[in-house]
Amino acid sequence: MCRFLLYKSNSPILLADLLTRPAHSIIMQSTNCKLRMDMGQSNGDGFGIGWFDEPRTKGCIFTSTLPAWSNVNLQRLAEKIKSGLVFAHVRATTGGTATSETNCHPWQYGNLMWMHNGNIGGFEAIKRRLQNSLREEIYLWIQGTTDSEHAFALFLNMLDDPLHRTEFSHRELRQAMLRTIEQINVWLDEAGITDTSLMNFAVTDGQSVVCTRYITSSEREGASLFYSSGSEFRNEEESGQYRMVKANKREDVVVVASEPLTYERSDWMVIPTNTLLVITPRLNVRLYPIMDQYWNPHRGRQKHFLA
Amino acid sequence: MNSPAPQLRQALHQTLSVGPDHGAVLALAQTRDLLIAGTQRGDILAWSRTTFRRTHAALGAHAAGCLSLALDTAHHVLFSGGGDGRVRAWDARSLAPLYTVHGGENAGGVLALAYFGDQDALALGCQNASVQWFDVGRRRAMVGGELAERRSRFFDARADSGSASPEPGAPAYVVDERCVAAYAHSGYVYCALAGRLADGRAALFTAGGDGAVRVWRVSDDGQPPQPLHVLARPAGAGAGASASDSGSDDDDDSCVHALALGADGLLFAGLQSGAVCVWDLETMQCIRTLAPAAGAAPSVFALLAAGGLLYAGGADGRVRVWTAADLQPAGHLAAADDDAAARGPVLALAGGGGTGGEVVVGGGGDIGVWAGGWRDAHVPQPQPDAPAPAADAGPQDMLRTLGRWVRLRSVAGVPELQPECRRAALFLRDLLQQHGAADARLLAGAPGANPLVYARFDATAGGAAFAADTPTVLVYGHYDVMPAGDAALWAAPAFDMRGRDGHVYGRGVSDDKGPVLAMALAVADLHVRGRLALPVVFCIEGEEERGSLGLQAAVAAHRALFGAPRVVLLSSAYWLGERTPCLTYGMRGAIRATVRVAAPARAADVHAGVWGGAVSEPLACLAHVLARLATPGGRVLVPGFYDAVRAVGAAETRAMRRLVRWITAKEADAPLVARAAAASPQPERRAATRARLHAQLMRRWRHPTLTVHHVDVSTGAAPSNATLVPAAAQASLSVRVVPDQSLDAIAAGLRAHIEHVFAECCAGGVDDSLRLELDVQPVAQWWLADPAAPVYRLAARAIREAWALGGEPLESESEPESEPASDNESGDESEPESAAADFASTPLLIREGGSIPAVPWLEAFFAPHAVAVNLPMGQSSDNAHMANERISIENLIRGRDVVYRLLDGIGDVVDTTQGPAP
Repeated sequence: MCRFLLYKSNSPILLADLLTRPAHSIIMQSTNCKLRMDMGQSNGDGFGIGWFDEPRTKGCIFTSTLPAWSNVNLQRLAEKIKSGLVFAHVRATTGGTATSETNCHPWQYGNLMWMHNGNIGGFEAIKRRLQNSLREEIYLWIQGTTDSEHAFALFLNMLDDPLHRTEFSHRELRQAMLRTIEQINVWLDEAGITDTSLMNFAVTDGQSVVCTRYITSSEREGASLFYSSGSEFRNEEESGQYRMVKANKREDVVVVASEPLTYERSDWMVIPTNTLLVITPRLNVRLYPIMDQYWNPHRGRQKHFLA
Repeated sequence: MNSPAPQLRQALHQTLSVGPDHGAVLALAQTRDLLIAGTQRGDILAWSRTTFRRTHAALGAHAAGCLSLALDTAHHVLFSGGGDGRVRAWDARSLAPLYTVHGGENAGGVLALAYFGDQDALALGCQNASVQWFDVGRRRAMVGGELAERRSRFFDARADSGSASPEPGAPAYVVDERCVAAYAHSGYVYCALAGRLADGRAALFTAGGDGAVRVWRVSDDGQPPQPLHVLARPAGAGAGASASDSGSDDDDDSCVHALALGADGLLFAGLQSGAVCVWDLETMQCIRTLAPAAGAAPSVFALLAAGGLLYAGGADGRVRVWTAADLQPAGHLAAADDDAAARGPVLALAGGGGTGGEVVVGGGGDIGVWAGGWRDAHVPQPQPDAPAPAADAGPQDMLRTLGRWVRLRSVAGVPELQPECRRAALFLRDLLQQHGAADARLLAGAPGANPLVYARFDATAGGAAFAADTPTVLVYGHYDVMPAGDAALWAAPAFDMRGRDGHVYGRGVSDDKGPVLAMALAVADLHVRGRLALPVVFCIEGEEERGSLGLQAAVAAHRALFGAPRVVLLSSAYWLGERTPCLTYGMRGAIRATVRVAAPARAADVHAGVWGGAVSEPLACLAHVLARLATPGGRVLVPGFYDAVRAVGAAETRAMRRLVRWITAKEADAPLVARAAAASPQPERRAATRARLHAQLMRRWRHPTLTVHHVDVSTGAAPSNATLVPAAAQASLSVRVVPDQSLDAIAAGLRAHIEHVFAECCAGGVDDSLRLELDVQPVAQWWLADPAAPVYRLAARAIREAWALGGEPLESESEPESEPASDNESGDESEPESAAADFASTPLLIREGGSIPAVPWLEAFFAPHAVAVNLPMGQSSDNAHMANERISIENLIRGRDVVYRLLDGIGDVVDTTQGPAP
């Protein structure tokens, strides 16, 4: 059970303004998260950050098996790196996988970057089937052992030539994401798995972002996922508190995070369970319900909040 | 193009400061009386649409921005939608809060609101892609715990993250879960619009972040709207999208930020790409895409279809305009020195059509109010069923006229501006003629000086033809203005009138074109309504700022035109403060003098080292003379100078004390009070301030004074060369005289005193004797009216009525004289503080330290009946004669009303009997 965060904007942000400084930054979430379903509070089994410099060029990833709060390099880099598209992830190991750098999110393949918060219940039962379905180059690319990386591989398998293309339409990414979830569900069903899977995935090609808040249950809520949008995410001079400034009608900044980065209620929106969120290249936020067998518009209210 | 491009004639009419505390203006709405803005910081601000003063504010109306506004005009309810997911209802007249509506769960910001009058219901466009429906008429009280269920484990664990609970006391409602259309769009729902389809049925139009425009059927059965149609957009309308956009609807990455409905069944959508798509609602077909000029594609954030025009406000701060019927470009809204980029994006538009034709533009900067309309034969006139223009369209016409008059730079005494002075005179003559003057013409002034404008409005009762002895009211004023001075000190060009925050700015708006226009229009109003009891004659001169050059000769030469004035009415004075209307009943007189001391024996300066000691010293002599005119404390040393000054009576002191109490209590921020307070010592500050102010006003109004304006030497070299003895030196000075000083006696005394002192200086001088050249000119007699006279009582009543002042009737000087005068002019401080606000009568009776030569002269010339009344219209901060001269719009409107009321009742208070003086 991990925490993740992604940021997309027209204006690059200093990573520290996302990762270390806000009141409930991802670093805070690594030591003291509030909404984990298993009530654990620390996500200390490594972390990773990925960021893009320019559209249509490959992103960069920095991972470590150290807890995010104790990695001095992360602090140093965060004070220097600016980017308009950032993925960040703190990890709490699931499924007995190793704490290794190859198992740290995010991963990238070509221009695509991927991370996951949650776990695929009974993944071992479908792992071989999944691997068998992959094209050779994608199968060989897998380095680690996690369900998350394998889900990425499956996603890549849905795309034509993902290694050499520099861009994808957000529609193509969205459809590949839906097909990935659908395929995993089919295999889980065939394998008779009844464990619940949490599939909060996020993927980007450096321009569009597609992410999901998804659970294989029509009753329970998925792992928490929030978003915020506005014209600028910055700290107010008087209070020092971070706010999402909404100075005009345009969305110039979108942040998606497992837990809100601040305690400003009106700045953060819940992504409804089993919903796919798209951030288009021009920063339009789109929300699509995932209307499969687990779709239930009357899912329980937040009093049953399990996140 | 077979038709010529229409000419957009809209001008920036008023700028309203929003201020950085409120952030950008995100939404605008207009009621009949108010202009209302919702801001980024969640505040709602309201201005009067007549005076453009800020009238109301609901600060902190929403926790995270006031994103949308909608009006229920039938019930006078304003709805505001916020980033906090709530809708609040307000009394649209007072901005008093009525109740709160909580959007459906996780709605996010309420980005758009549309009110449906027939259904008495609201449509909400929400951030979570839902469209929600709130039945205002059948709203049900909130079920307890309904919101409690929405408690968030994250936020509600902390006290400082805002609350989901309603405010205590305010009624709260929730949007019924069955009235939420979840995922109505796939993106934020930025727009919701109430309208009708081609068949007349009510419809809701929504659009948003997914680029789709949806049409919903709205029925009268209380059910939420049902989806009817998705309007297809042609491929490429989102031009400028990235290459990956195939053009298919789904992948087109250009959201819709604004929707507007045209009068003839056209729907407009403003796109992120900068394009505006146009649908015909009859066929549901997209018929046009209005693309921005090639290259530039600022997003369209706001649309307004009104008065036959379509306005599109963009991210670049510009408002582009098309004709709404044939979709021809008609330019864009731009002031002369417009800097659209500095204004920030345009985020909201309101107005147009039947609400006075104004277009209100709001966004990242100040709010702009544009007026003036357009001229084009091809554009249909506004719909006949549009609401009638505001009943009182007068104020705007007055301001427009004033703006045109101000544009004529009628500075007297500047040869190249003489033609403009003449045009300004003709402008006024024509205006008076158009408004019904029986006679309007220019009267020649002094040779080379500007003409006077004369006009006569006849009494409505008719009767005998106008004759030289017909009782009249004479309106005096001037159309000449001071030079603009240093252009750098003006915020905008001096002769290009601009409006800001309820004032208009420009040279002459307050001195004296604005008040003259207000007086003229008041007379015209009375004339039209048939309420002129006496003929009103206008004498508006063009040389006032140069000492009314030629006025007396011109009036004397045409005496018969003016009849026998019973009242000389003028408005050439200012309030003492900013808020309390005043009535001026006295002014000081003035004498100007120049003193020149010359050494006639030598034509040029000489070298001080060579000649010093052997030649006379003109400047030193002049300095001696000047030093003997007054003490450093300001006491004039001319013998007998104070002899005739009327003693200050007890009643006068009492009245002054009341005035000072009033002004310090009511107008602490008025410039003169603030200055006096700043100069007062800390302890007993209030008393000290009053004492200072009392003494100051007595000195300004009541006591004579002498001023040395400047001292100069005769030659060009001397001022910069410190080694010369000048051949001559001169000084100019003036004396202000008060009742009962005789202008001629003081002038003669001054002349004699200077000659005497000069003679003393010359006694025992060196051999090349000095010569004194002395010129003493009486300029203006002092003027003092009896504020207890009937016409003053009438004027005071007119002021009270026009300004809707309560309070007691005008206090006169008829108080018992028994109370002994205090030695201390400031008076004692024994009166209780609480009385301060109650005792003074309004309007305040004030005097002025300055002089207007024409006033006492006209009174004297038309004696014995003529009584002058000076009605100040402007505030003390009007900056007459200085940069950024201004006048409050409200003061002009009410000033016009005061004059109307005064003249309406004038027949009752003056002797209207025709014939020579008894």
